[in-house]
Amino acid sequence: MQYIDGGSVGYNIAVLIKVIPDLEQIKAASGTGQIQIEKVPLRLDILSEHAIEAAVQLKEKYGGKVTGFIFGNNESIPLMKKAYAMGVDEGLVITGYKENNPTLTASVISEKLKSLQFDIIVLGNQSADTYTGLLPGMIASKINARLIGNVLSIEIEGKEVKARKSLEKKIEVVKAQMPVVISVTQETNQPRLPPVMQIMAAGRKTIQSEEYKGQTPSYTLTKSRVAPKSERKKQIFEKPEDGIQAVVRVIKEEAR
Amino acid sequence: MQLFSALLIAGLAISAASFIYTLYSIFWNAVKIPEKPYRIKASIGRRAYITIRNVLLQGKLFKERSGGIMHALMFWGFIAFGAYSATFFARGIDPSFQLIPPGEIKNVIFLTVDVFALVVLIDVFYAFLRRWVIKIPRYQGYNGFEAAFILFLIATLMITYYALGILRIDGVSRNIPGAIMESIPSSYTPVTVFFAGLFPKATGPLSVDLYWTLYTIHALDFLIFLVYIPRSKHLHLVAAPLNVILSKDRQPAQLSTIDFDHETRFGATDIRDFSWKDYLDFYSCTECGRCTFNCPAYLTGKTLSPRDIIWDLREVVLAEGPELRSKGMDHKDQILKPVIGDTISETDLWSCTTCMACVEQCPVMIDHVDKIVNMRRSLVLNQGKAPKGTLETYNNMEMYGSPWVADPSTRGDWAKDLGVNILSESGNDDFEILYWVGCVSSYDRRNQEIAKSVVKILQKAGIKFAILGSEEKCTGDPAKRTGNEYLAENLARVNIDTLNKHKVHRVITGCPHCFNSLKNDYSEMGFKAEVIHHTEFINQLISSGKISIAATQNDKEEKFTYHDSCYLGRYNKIYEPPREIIGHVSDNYEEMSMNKSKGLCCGAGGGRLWMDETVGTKISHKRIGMASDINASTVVTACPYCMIMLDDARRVTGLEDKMKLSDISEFVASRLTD
Amino acid sequence: MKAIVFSEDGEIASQMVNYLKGKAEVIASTLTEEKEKCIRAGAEKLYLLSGIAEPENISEAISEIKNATGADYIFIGSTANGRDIAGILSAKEDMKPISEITSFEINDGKATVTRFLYGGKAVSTEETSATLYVYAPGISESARAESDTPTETIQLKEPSVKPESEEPKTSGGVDLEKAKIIVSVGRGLGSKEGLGIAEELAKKVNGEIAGSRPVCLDYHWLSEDRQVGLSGKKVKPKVYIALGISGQIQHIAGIRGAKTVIAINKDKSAPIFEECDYGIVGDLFQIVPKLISAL
Ligand SMILES: Cc1cc2nc3c(=O)[nH]c(=O)nc-3n(C[C@H](O)[C@H](O)[C@H](O)COP(=O)(O)OP(=O)(O)OC[C@H]3O[C@@H](n4cnc5c(N)ncnc54)[C@H](O)[C@@H]3O)c2cc1C
Ligand code: SF4
Ligand code: SF4
Repeated sequence: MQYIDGGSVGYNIAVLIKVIPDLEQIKAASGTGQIQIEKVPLRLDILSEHAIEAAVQLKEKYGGKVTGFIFGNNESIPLMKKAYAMGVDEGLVITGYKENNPTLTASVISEKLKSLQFDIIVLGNQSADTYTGLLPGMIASKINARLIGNVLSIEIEGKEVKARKSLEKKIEVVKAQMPVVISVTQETNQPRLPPVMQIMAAGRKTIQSEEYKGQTPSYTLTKSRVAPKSERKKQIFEKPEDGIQAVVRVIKEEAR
Repeated sequence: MQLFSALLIAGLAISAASFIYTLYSIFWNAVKIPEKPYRIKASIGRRAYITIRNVLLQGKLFKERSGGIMHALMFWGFIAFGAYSATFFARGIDPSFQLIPPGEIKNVIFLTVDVFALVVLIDVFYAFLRRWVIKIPRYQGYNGFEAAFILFLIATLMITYYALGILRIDGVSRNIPGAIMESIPSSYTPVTVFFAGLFPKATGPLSVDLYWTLYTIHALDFLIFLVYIPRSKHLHLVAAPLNVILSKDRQPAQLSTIDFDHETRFGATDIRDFSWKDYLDFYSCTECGRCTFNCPAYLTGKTLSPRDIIWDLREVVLAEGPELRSKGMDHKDQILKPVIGDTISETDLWSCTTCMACVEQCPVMIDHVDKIVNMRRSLVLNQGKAPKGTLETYNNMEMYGSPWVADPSTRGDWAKDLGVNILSESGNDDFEILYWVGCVSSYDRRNQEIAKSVVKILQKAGIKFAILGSEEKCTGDPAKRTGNEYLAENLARVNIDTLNKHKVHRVITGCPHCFNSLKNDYSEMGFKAEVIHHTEFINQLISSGKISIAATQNDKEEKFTYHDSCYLGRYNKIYEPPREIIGHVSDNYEEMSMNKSKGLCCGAGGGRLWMDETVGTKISHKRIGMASDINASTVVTACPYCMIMLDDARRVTGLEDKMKLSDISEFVASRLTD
Repeated sequence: MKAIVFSEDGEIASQMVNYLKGKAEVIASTLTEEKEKCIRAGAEKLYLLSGIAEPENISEAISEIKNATGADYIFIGSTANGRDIAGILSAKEDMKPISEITSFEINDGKATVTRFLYGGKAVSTEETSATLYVYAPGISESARAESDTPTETIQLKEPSVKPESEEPKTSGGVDLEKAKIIVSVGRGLGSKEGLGIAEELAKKVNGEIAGSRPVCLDYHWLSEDRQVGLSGKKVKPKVYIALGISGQIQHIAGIRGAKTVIAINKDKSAPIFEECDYGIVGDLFQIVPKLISAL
């Protein structure tokens, strides 16, 4: 619990937001099957929207302030508006994102978080584009915070966070002292449709941005990125016998 | 007699004061509470026309024949009777006063009174029968006492008129000062004369007492009526004519606008968020129930009732208004409670298909849909609340320019092999007319057949046309009708820019929702082009001989019917062209039981296509049942939304082998001749 | 190369052992409760972590194992906790991570992996010097060795995130969204009695049964929570078998995420054939029994 904005008591909440290309509009080049994302419009990762919703709900319930962070590129800057509209109070976009380098992402964001003393840091448990799912642990470890991953619901009492974690076979209720890093899932909440007043207010709000200029040692080289299959194969069998054979093969392959 | 006049003056003064005070307080509400503007243009000619048609001639009432005739006769009877009442009170106060100079004119006026009094009396009896003997469903459960009381007052007024008339014929009142109609020859009061013949002649002092008794009853009856009117649904006597005169310029389609730069409360949350005209709507409602009993949601077992929406809002106004008046406007925030929730349920708001059946039917020209959409706006724009399916469509419209998840770059794919000028790819602006395809026909396979048929017809007629392809985006109709005006406006602006960029002057579209948006909503945002729905366009092509169609061999066995799309019919008054087209091919045509302006919605409008329908029967099932009732073998439609709904209903109710469903464009394309 | 594998699910741990055997010297680790599933997986050694387990103290234990064995690679099974453990380890041990790999080859110390990107829209093949891998379960089967692996137990430290209680995952409703194989039926079934054959197929392929809207909502042959489509569930199984479903847009909206769609429909022009990978034209009542026996 801290004093925020000169007086009001509440929690200092950070939410980490990822900007990704819209997956529905990603296509494979006909012929080569190479994936093309150049012209695909950007959007907030749906899990980031869940994270924003969770952070804003915490603020609404317990008081405080929500700061959003995007580690992205120049094109990501305007997307902070959506986060504002959903209830994020302040936002910072750090440019200089490099794909396929979670280590870099974790260290850039952790540096920022460390300097700002957050009580709660919320993020999505995995991102929809790269599925990393490593950031919650990496960040918690780097800033020396407790990690509660894959939560379904969150309650706060003083400095203690109580949450229900969704594991594969059970739900586990855990408690931890702040600062905590909380990762949310798609089941945690339903991201809100921002009310128009807030959309418009968000449009007028400034978005801070700064460039990350550090060295970015890459340890992974992408050799190819192809569509696993262009679209539906549409192999239609009018002779059932042939069809059954093919289908049996597919089912056996996939059902392993 | 002096005393009597004095009493009469006093009585009249008291009831007039009560009448005026009640009206004052009611109209105070309408002037002081609402904060939303009402757009109104002078359009004197139109106003005169609708006033004559819908007030004097009671035009809208005849949508239901028996009730309409009953009410019209009552209305005209009352107007006629006004002459009697005015004379009655004038001479009661000043016995020497002549309101209408004696003579032939006066005689004829009172002949009318004499006849109409009987008509009203019979009417009262009929009204009684309708409500308590025939038990017309739409009256059930609504203010029975009030109706009975009013009918009693009216009957008493007429009976005492005749009773006083009999005494006049009998000569009882001849010398009583202030008595009226003494100068009217009895041949001008045939009904009274007839009644007089049924009773023994009244004589002696008792008959004078009887005269005064009847006189008093008549006077009191009238005064009570005056006091009662503004406190009951009979407020419509005052409010409804005003409401008709001041109604919207373009009745159905127009929703109120939002000024996003200046307004801070969007839509209607409590009673301040309406306009004065909405208040007049509330006051005009007669609780007749015509709206509700034509409402597809209500008719299929949902709890939505447009009558209750209006009436419940009126009750809130009448409850909160006086409180505001006594405590002062500063207390708005404490006194005014949200009307969504306790008063009007969210479920009911989302049940509405914006089909306009209620608006179309309402005899006093109340606009239910604007209010419903305004309350939806309150939920969507202020709180971000909407059914799950609707929230998804918002996302999709924003991301993909379509209510469905669909890759926008594939929007024009259906036309790829058809030799169509796809502007997003060709950039070739050499075309006469733009074919606006719409989301449904672009992405839904069944409905792509409509688009392909339109293309076939246009090509056959040799028309130089183009489609926008991936530059076309949802018109925003599903957002607009569900209350997301913000998104709808944004989409409209993008589309208008695209249309202007390609210098589009004529648009044809196969989707009535797109049609209505482009034609009515976009034109208000500055898009100026001729917008034509394909039904009209194809009909013109046929009548001008650019294309011709002929019956196929199978048509001889077919029985056709046509399902009216709300957005084509009630919204834009296009009823005949599709019927004419079918008429070119077949005479074996029958209307379903609710058709044209009374057509039953398919259940998809107002964003309902993307919401669940789990309460009661499905609207589409009811509609397809009506087609089945007349054994139609082909149902023709002119709307992709209707196509989706009815096709689903047709399959699910097991009619797919018996009944075909065809868009008017498919109907024509498959019957083209060389 | 020497690799530690860990998963708190013994089955996943033994899958990883089997997958990496031959590529590396494999040291397995899992929770004590999962010992039985892992003891014959074929690892060099099996570490069993005992005590209250949270990502935080598990990752400490794995660090200990790393120090004790001198392993240079770590593989963690991709589970909710597994990914958190991998994240913590990566930061703590300063190991470069790579996630959700679906294959792993190593040559001269250079690893090549494949993994899915963009919601499954791309398969990415990458060359990497990462040393910490998150393994996507299911890419390999587990094997059963002749004899038990020698074990060592490590006592977990007290975690600072304290478990209070547990709830079972509500399994009342069906979890179509998670099903790997779905047999979905439409009106082509004709009647509720037709369901039998579909259920038989579902059982055979170990799949869930689902249906189109008419089947679930209008006829109630199936419960409403089994409806797939726009107003129902959006599913993403590996195989979606559509029996007697015509393939209207509202239905297709629910199966976009399916990897392979198989359709059986007697109407050659049914739109589902435009939306499937394999389609068989014919009567489902004749084809499905044959299919079942062929499986
Ligand atoms: C607002 C709205 C929302 C909707 N949401 C959904 C939704 O979420 N999910 C959904 O599924 N639908 C939804 N629908 C309904 C959708 O439009 C279709 O009506 C529905 O999907 C059709 O179901 P079906 O394919 O089972 O039936 P049909 O379309 O009748 O198809 C039956 C198929 O079975 C085939 N067939 C018949 N007998 C046999 C046999 N012996 N062997 C093989 N094939 C046979 C026929 O050729 C036919 O193609 C929605 C509709 C609306 C209007
Ligand atoms: S618009 Fe149609 S659905 Fe809505 S209330 Fe009126 S009649 Fe009912
Ligand atoms: S709104 Fe119109 S139609 Fe409905 S009850 Fe009132 S007066 Fe009648």
